Amino acid sequence: MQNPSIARLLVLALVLGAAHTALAQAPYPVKPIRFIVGFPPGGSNDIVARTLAPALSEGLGKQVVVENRGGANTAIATELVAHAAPDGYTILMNAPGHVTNPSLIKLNFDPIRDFAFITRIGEAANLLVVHPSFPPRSVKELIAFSKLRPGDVNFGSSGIGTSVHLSAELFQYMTGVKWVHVAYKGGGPGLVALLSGEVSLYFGNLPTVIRQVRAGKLRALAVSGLKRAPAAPDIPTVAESGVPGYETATWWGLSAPAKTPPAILARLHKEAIRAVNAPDVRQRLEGVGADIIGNTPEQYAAFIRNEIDKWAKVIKAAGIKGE
Amino acid sequence: MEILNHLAFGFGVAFSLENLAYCFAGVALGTLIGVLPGVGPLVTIAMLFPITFHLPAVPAIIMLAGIFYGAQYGGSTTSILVNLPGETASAVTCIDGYQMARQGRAGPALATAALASFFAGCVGTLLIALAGPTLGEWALKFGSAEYTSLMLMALVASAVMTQGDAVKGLAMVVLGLLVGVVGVDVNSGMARYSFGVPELVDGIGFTVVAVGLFAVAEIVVNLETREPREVYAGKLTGLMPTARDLKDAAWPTVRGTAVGACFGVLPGAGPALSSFATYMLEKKIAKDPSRFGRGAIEGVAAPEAANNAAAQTAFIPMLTLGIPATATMALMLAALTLQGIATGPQVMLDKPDLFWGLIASMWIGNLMLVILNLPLVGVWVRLLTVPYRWLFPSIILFCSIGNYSVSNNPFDVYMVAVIGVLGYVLVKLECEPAPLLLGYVLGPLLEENLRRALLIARGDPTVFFTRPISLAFMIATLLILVVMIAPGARRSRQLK
Repeated sequence: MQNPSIARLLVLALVLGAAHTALAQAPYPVKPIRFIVGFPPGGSNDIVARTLAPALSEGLGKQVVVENRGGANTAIATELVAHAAPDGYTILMNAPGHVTNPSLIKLNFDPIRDFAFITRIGEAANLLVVHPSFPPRSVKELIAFSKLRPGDVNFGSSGIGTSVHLSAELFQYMTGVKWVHVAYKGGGPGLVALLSGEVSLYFGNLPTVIRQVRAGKLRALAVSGLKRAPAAPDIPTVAESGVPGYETATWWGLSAPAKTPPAILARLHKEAIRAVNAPDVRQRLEGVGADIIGNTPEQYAAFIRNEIDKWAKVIKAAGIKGE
Repeated sequence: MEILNHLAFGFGVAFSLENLAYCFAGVALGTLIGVLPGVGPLVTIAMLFPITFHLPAVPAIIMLAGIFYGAQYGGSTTSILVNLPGETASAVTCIDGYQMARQGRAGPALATAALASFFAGCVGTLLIALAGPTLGEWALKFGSAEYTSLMLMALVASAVMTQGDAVKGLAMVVLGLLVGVVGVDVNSGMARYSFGVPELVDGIGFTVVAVGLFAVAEIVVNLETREPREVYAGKLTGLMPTARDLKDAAWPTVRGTAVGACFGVLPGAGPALSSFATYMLEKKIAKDPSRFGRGAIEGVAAPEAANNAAAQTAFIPMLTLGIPATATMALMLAALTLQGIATGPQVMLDKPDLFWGLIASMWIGNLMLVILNLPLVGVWVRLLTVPYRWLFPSIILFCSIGNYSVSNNPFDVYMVAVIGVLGYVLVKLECEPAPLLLGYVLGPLLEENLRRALLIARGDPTVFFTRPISLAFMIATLLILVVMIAPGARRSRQLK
């Protein structure tokens, strides 16, 4: 050949191509996997991720490393994964923010099309609790009490757009009662405000508030899920107490960037299902109030689409604006 | 006495070899991460979280707690040595601690910080044992109206923070308020001054502001001079505090402990505010307030005592009410929950080995920390003999790593650089960073609580005067104002 450098380049290209093919054929995974969590450490999302990560690592044979990218109610983490390389080495812990953010803030990604949904790991119902001095003793009484006094009842939340807040907005939307929203910075201060009676009503994370109920510091009216909670079978659901169809929950799910190869997605799905069903993981997740779901990618994707529509209506009706 | 029996039982639990080992591991790790800016107890506890699955509940919580309060000890080290606040709560320690180091008194400053922390830690622990449940109930009396009045009082008192020109001090507080406003408003959910940047939606982090204003700005200023090694001009005058130092630091430590213990119990007020509050108090009651900001040992002892006392009493809402006041507490609570332990109002009765064992371990942990930290003083001080051309890139490197690790986002590192430039400009204008930081901390809290209190009162401002605790703060605010405006006080200001 006249030009040796071209020959060299050709050889190099061939070698690189072969290496690339070899790499593609190497069994996934060959390196650690980033598990992106949309909240700083300490929240339920982070705790579920950290409970799940060791079991996932074991199944996949490589470390699954939890990486907290808090901010904007998961939008920062979600955007990161939406634009990440679809190679199976970046996965995302979804949270309800995934389906409510589209109605609240401007996003630089598509919450449906940019993702391959793997499985919904589980959910935890909220508990509708009131301060002991608050008269209503049931959901029916609460509705009647609130209808007589529109705009008098204060409900607390852990912040605008959170599951605690939106559970109450959905209740108002479905029953037509009018409450006043008092937002706090996080679940701790919100719960303190309820315990001290500054607000009357709160849709709290079940494992945290059930202890207060047992100690007589709060009174439980109903659980927000469609079914009664295994941890508190004596408490009725909102739906069975006169608001049929009412359902909210905090939930956790697993997704990856949209163009991730199907084989890798199948592997992640298999390992995720295995992880959530491992007895010790199951026991720990149930300890934080989670009901294990572990459904199919199709079921999970359909759930996401339905939820985005549902909350768009509620958020519009409630007049909540993010930006 | 029943309490003595409980404590004896607790020490019995804590003195097992296993628990002592975990306690030591916790406090040693805590000291280490406290030294690194940004890498706080929250990140560390999160990383160790899965390990606790395989531990019994008591050693697990003893270790996690050790990390938490151990970090408060370590946090002061870099504040004093190189003006770099390792933890939120030690930003105030920079003001006088760093000046002491520049005068060759880094040793006494570090030792004082360790001893003050030890004293405060012991008292804080005793408070949990003696009055935990009572203090927990007291914290519940603080509603939005009370917080508003408390913050208002602190904001008015913040005029004390300024060293020289009062107008410049005020301008700095206002600038701090503006920086604090960035991000989503808690009450309305509106994003303010975020310019569509998602990273700004949650505001600018405390470590970003503190590290930028103190550490980065200081380095830039030092590099301006031709001979930067003169940063630590004075020769080393002994490693340990003199008898006079100890005497000067004694009462500030006691007062700092009292202030810190009160703030620690309040969810949401936090240790940062406690160290500011006690610093302002010390400066106000000092015979010669002009010494503050120029290496006053009281300015090290009081805030260090306050933040460590607050770190201990912060356990009260978690242990007695089952409420996680902060994210770090939430993680510890979750660790217990996953062990099948329902922390809540009855934890003292249900799980006495956990409750009293933890309290006893805190005392032991504090002792370990002081034993661990005092010999380290010599090591740290020797660090200052490293030529500045080696020292400053290392400081910058640690700042960057620390701030990156808070949310694994390079954006925060860029923000430190931006705030650092601001800090440099402020130094050139002879404006001090401390009032800015205070405004940054207080402003959002004041606004959030004021609007919430008025929302709950349906717009009726008398709510601040009809609730007794709130009224007391309002009267105190008025008194502070009167004292400041009174001609005598003004004259003494101008004399400085």
